[in-house]
This record gives sequence, C-alpha cells and structure tokens, in this order.
Amino acid sequence: MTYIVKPKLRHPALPVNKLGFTHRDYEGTVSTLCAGCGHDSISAAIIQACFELAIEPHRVAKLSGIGCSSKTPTYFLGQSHGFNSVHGRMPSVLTGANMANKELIYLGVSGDGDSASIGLGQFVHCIRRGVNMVYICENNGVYGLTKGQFSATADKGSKSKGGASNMDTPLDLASMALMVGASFVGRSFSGDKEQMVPLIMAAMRHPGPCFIDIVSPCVAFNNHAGSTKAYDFVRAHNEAVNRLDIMEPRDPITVEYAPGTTEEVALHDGSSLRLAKLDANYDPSDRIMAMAYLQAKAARNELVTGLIYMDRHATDMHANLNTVDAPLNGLGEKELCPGTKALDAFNASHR
Amino acid sequence: MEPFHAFLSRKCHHCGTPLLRLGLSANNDIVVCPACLKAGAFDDVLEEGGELTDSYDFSADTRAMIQRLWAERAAP
Amino acid sequence: MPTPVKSINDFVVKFANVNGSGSASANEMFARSLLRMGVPVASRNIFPSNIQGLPTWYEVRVSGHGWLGRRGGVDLMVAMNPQTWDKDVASVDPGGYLFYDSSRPIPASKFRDDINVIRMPLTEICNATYSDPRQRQLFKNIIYVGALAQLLGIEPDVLETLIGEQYKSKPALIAPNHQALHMGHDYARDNLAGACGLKVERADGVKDRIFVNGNDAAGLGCVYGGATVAAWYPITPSTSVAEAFGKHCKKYRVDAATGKNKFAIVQAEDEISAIGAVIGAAWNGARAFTATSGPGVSLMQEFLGLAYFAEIPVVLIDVQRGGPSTGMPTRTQQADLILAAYASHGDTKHVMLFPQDPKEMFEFAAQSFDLAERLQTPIFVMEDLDIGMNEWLCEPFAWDDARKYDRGKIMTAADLDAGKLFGRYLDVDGDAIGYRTLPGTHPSKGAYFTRGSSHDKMAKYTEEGDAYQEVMQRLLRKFETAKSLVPAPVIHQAAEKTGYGVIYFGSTAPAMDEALAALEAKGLHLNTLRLRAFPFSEAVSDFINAHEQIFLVEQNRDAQMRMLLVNECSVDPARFISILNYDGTPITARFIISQIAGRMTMTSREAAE
Repeated sequence: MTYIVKPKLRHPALPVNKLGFTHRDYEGTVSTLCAGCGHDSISAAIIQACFELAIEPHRVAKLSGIGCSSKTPTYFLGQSHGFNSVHGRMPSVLTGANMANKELIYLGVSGDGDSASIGLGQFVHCIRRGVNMVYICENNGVYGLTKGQFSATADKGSKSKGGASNMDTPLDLASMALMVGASFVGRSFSGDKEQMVPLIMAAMRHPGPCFIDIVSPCVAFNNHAGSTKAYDFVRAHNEAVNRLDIMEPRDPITVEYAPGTTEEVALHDGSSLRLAKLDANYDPSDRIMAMAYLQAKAARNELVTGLIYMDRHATDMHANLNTVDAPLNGLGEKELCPGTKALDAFNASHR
Repeated sequence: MEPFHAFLSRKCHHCGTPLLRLGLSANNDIVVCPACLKAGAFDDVLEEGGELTDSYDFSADTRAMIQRLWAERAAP
Repeated sequence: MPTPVKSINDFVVKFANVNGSGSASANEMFARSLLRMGVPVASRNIFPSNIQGLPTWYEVRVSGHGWLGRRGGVDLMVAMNPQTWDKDVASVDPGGYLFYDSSRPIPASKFRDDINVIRMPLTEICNATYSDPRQRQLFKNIIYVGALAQLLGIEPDVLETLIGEQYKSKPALIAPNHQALHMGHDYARDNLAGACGLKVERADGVKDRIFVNGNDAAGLGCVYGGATVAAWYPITPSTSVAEAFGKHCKKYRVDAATGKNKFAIVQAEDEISAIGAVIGAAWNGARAFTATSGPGVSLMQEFLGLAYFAEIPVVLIDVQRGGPSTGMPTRTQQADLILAAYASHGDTKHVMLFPQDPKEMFEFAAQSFDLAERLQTPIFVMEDLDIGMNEWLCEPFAWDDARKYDRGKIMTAADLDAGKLFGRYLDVDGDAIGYRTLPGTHPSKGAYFTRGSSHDKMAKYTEEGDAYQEVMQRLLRKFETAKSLVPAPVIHQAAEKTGYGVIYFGSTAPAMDEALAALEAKGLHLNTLRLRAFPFSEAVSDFINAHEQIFLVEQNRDAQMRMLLVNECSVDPARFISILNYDGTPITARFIISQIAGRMTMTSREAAE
C-alpha cells in the first residue's frame, strides 16, 4: 500500500454544498510537508473556501512556481488541472492560461522565495496587467525547500536558525500589490482560519487581480525566537483591521453588530461581503490610505491583516483587451480564418 | 549544527507514528519512523509510494538523535 | 576612364539617405514602379540601429532575368547623405554612375575619375519652390525619383498611379506630389539627356507575383493558422511580426456583431514572460506564439526546456540577426541554428522550419501551429532579417478554404466518459505522442499535473531510472515522427550527371538560384538540396551519401548546419565543403560562384564517375 492515495470512503452523513459536493471532493493528496507547516493550514483554508463557495472543482486551474508552497497545489483540488512551472515564473504562465480561457478560476500559489526575488518582475506585471486571478503568497521569510536561506521578505534584524542576521530591507508584497494596481489585497496568517477562508472566498469571487499575502511560519527554519514570521511573533503583532463574511442573498442575518461598525458591500454576482470593522478608521476602499497605513504599521513592527483593499468597480485584462465572450480556446477555423477571398485581396494590394 | 530534521504530517503505515524527516547530508533526506526505525529515501517514499524498510543502517549517534527528538516531541 | 555601363533591365541602384528623412516611401515607390512595368526587382534595406539621423541605404537590384538575390556591386549610386559620401563614392563599380545634389559645391578630390557623375541642384530647386522645411525635405525625395525616372526611362504614368494609390486617403496631397515628380522629370529631360546608360524597358517578368516583407507574411500566416494568443517583447528585427499580427487581427478577427476581439495580444515585460504566457495559453488549448530574435531565444531557454519535457505546444518565430550577444541588430545571419535545435540544458531537440521567402514564411507560420499541437512540442520558425525586413517578390499567398486545423491529440469529456484510459504520457498509438486533456474539461476525470520534473507515463512524479529513460526514449521517437510531418527538402537534379551536390536553406535561395545558372553556363553542374526543416528526413542522408563532395552554404561563422547534419545523420563529415557568409549582409551569387567554382577542381562529370 502506498502513501499517496487517500481512501475514498464516503460517510453517508457528510455535509454537502449547494452543488452536492462534499469537502473531500475539494481535497488533494496527503501533504509531504513538515507537521505544523503553515502551508498545510492554507491548503485547508483553500479547500474550505472552495467548498463553501460551491465552485466546480474542475473549473479551477492551479498554478505554482517552485518551492515548498508551490508543492501545495497537489494537496488540494485533486480534480483540477495543475501546473508547477519554473522558479519565479508562475505569473506569466497563469497570464497566458487566462488569455486562452477567461472562464476558469485561476489560482496562483507561490511563496516569498518564488515571488519576491526571481519572480518579482512577473509578480508586478501580472497584477499591473489586471489578470483576473487569486494570487496567494505563502510567506515565511525563508527558502524552505533549499533549507532555510533568508528570502526578500525577511525583516531587517531577524535571525536565521543558524544565528545569522538579515541586514537587507524587506519587501512587503501586499504594499507592492497596492502600488501596482491590484484590485483586491488581503493579508492573513495561516494560524487564523476564520480570517483566511472568507478572504479567499471573496478573492475567488472578485473579477480582477487579487493578491493575498499569508504569513505562514516555517516550523523547520523560521519559527524560533528572533524570527518575525514565527507563530508566536505573528500572534503578538497581528492587527486585523476588519473581519469578513460572505453573505449569500438568502442568508439570514445571524449576528448583530453595533451600528456604524459594519459595512455591507454588494458583489456583482448577487452575494455581498460584510465587513466588520475592527479599526473604525480603516477604509478598505481607499488605496492611498491603505498604502500609508501598511507602511506606518510596518515601521512599528505591526502586521496588518484582513481585507486591506478592495475596488468595487474592478475590471480585468480581458476587459482591457476587449476579447469576445467565448473563450479563445474554443474558437475554430470558421471564426478565426479569413479565407481565400481575403487573401486574394491581400495579394492584389501587394502588386 | 544539528542535521536538518522535521516531523511530518504523514504517519508510519506499520505503526501510525508520525514520520521524521532527516537530512543525512546535502540532498540526501530520509524519512524514518522513530518508533519502529523503518526508513526510506524522502522522495522515494513520499512522492513515489516507496515502502519504509528495515534496511537502513543507522549509526549509533543518529539512532540516539532520532530517539531524543521523538522523546522531546512526545513530552508535554 | 572606363566605358560607361550600359544595361537594360540588369543593374543595381543604391540609395544613400539619412534615416527618417522620408526617403523610404519615395525609394520604395521607385522600386514598385519597376515592378509595375513587369521588371523584377529585389530591394534591400540596410538599417542603422538608431532611429533618426543615421545613415540608411536602400539597394534595388533590377533583374530582367528575375534573379532576386543580392548581386554585389553598384551601378548607380544616389548619394543623398553627405555623411557617407566617401563610402558611397567608393562603392560604385568602375564605369558606373553617381547621382548627387549639386547645390553645395564638393571638391574634385571627393570624386573618382572612373565613374560618371550626374549632377542635379536638388536643394536649390526645392528651396525655390517650397518654403516649409518639412515640405522641402519630403518633396526633395519625389523630385529625385522623377529625375531618375527620366534618366532610366521609367514610364511617368506608372509613378503617377502609384502616387495616387499611396495618397488615396489624403487626395489633397496627390497633386503636389505629381508636381514634384514632374519637376524632377523635366529637369532631367532638359539637362541630363544621355547622362545614364542604364535603362528600364517594359517586360513580362513579374506576372502575378506580390511584393511583401517576411514579417508581414509571418503575422498574416499566424492569423490564417488560427493563433488567438500572442505574447511578445520588442526586439529588432522581430517587432514587426507582432505588429503585423495585431494589424491583421484588427482587420480580420474582430467580431462583426459585438466589435470584440477574437484574439489577445500582450506585450510582455520581457522575453521570459512572453514565452511563459505562450506556454500557459497553449497548455490551456489556445494556439499561441511569440516572435523574437537570438537574444530573446537565449532568455527563453529555461521555458523551452520545460515545454520540451512537459510536451506543450509552442510556436516561436526567430527572426535571426547578427550575433553573438547584442551583435549586429540590423544585420542578417543564420546563426541561431544550434541554439534553437538544442535549446535548454539537458538532452533536448527541437523542430525547426526554414522558410526561403515571405511566401514560405506565410505557409510555415500557419503550418507551425498544426505541427506544434500534433507533436506537442516547441516549433521554431527560423526566419532572418533579410526575409523579415525587406520586401520580396514572391508567388501570391494561397489557402484552401476546406482546410481544417489539426488540433492534435486531445481527449474530450465524451472520451473520458466513454471510459477511455487517460495517461498524459502514454504512447497509445505507437507514434510516441500521448493524449492531453485541457483544464476544465471533466468534473472527475482527466486532471493531471504539468511539471518540468521527471514523470512517468501517467504524469506522476518519479525519479526511477527506467521510467525516466522510457520517457526520454519516447521523446526521441517523437522526434522521428516529426520527420514525416515537417516540410520535405526540395531536391533538384542537375542537367548533367554530377558527383557534386550543394545544400542550402532559407534566404540563401535566390542567390543560389542565380549562382547555379551561372555555374551551369560554365559547365559546372551540381545537384541541389534545399533544407526546409529539422529533423532531417532520410532523403537528406541519402542525398549526402550519394555525392562525393557537398557544398554546404550557410550564413554563420561556425558552420552550424554542418554541425547539425554531422550530428544527426549518419554521414561522412569529410564530404562537406563549407561556404560561409557571415558579415551581416545577405549572401550574393557572386560570392557563391567564386567559392564553388574555385573548389570544383574536377569537372562535375569526372566527379560523377
């Protein structure tokens, strides 16, 4: 017997979603990552989000680069096509895949090693271009797969397991995403499933470039004292600006909030987001304010989490390219080939 | 410095104990069950469905380390 | 003083202008007027790398015989750029003609006494007629075209018609251009009678051929071939492929009812992103391509290896230029052969196509998508700057409306439901090609992971030696399958039996045609093989083995095609005699003739025995 195949037992009383799928239908194979790895919690949140959203599992395309986090697509959505590409280059492959078929949901999973160094250019440009996707960066400040080197998101002064100190300025991918036009930016922590799941759900519903930075402690290499991406540190310095709920049109209102502390945002598909403000001054529809806020908090070593920014009037690359509604990969000779008559005219005009 | 080690989510098929991943040398990781000491190459076992076997010959130091790590983990 | 050159329909005119002075369209009109008179021409641009203010040359070879390669040498130099005066004067053949603007005096020492000088005070004439500086600049070009027309005997109404066509959308400009044309014509008639022994006479040498550049043909071929996605990065000389594709898409691929686009073009942030997007799109079932040059291919290598090993269709148009490194961005070479054939680390082999002119560029561009999807691998269409950036006289493009795209082996939802076994890298049919499924096809069957790491037949990760080697061997067998699908070589037997052969490919073709005729006239016969693709079919090995000596003509320093032939075919390397032209200019018939004739020590008959 091998370790790969999970038993396909189905308990008759397992809950099903709107489409009749169980939670199992959104799972993949068993993880090979370290026990306690933050990435496994993120995979679980992705599974939960897809289950609750009742998307068809095979209508997601999951793409990743190289690294521990890039291995995770195997561990969720076993019925979806996956593409582990090359180091730092997942965004370009995702962009092309999206161009070919605008109707699938594109989930790009990467890590700080993959996205913040070799992949920094592609990270920026796929967002600038407005590619409709959910780009999740599983951020642990190290190169886990190659045994613990600092990544470009490691905080200045943080210490490696071997005692070395990082002296380089860290990159904040969430801030960068805001600056280059992401229409949905969130940050979370792998230890906070309640925060992660609705963020991922909202992102999957959002028609535009979504970026979610999820701090995901590496138990092998970056979970010790002196690390700013360790479980303890993140828990102590976590400042959630809001809490998110996805409301379906017919969901009953179950919780009462004090007036002025919630905001309901209608989504284009009839559902809505309920934002419970934890910081009354934080407005996630103000991009400039969000950028300044993140910088100010980071200067005081505080990690802002929650829905950082969302543009309610988002648009995407296909709108910019003005492509036909039908996916390009479904068009054939009839739609694409101009034929002999047009060619004769071309010849005539070149004599 | 100690060799790389980390417990995994995967469990030993024979006795259900969480597997320990151990870096014997660069690019040479194994997975070993700390209880029954069956082991196998990391990629072989976890990615390709290979079996854990008794054929690994651990040095006394390595054996001691495995047992210590397992004890540390089990401690409250 | 040598006799002035006299010729009808057989000479070379070279224009030396300042780039950006508006001369390009006037010069091209000159060339087209000859075509309209039924006289074949071969025109070539020699560009500087910069945009404005640097020299540019336009060489028009007039050939009643229909020889379209560069001849070498210049019979009439139109020297309109003071900056390159010395060089331009030096390039005229003895007995040839130098036409220049005599408004500014030039010392006698700047001329040669073995060439004939034709003077026209162009600037004076312009300044007398026009006051606006831009007008003076632009009309000066038309004035000298008018003068040349009179000198060479080009029918005036032919040029008038061309002016009318060019300014169809701005009719107010037609009359002033006609006036400028006549001004030049009249001056030459009144002052330069008999000054030039080169003449153009109406002929029937053009027939229904078209005059078009290779990059435009490439863009159109991609449209006809069903490409819906293009991702590219600007680089000389391939940028105009993407621009042409965009232009043709706007014309042919906009949905009439909605005004929306049946295509998506992205200018990527670099070549790596461009090829990544092509791979993502093709993986997801769209026909996708990129166009680049040597430096871009170098950058793309990692992804090309991924496409090879994971077996993803890719079309890459390489408009080759002078290398290595930044090299000579505006000069031509055929120097990316080894790069393309074996792109990426590890054991890889890629299909290449070698079009000879814009017509084959159109055909091969369209065909490349069928090949890419059938073979599930990268297809390199190896163009070059000579074909891409020059207008060539070639056969009109043709298409069969009944033609269907070959989408290759794709397993549909219906196939999966019918219980067909799906394994991404399973060789079910013995042709070494597996079936793929597209993302989003089936709710519970057919999903798999695409990766560059080692995999078994079912696309599962493995590092097991046997499984890996099985995949690698199948990739070699797939390359064998490609031999029967790619364009076959064109083989021609000489009029007389001969033991000599010559192999060539791509833009060498027109110079080779001319050289062969000249050699035959000298009693030197060669059988020819024009390569059109890699891998090489059996016919190529057979040809090589059937000849004592084979001239192998290519445009790079290290005889890269020779390397490929020796590497891939079971042939004796000693049979090859390399003929190499790699100075960045297109190879000429004169060069080929001198290289071959000098080495054919036996007559071809002796060699055949």
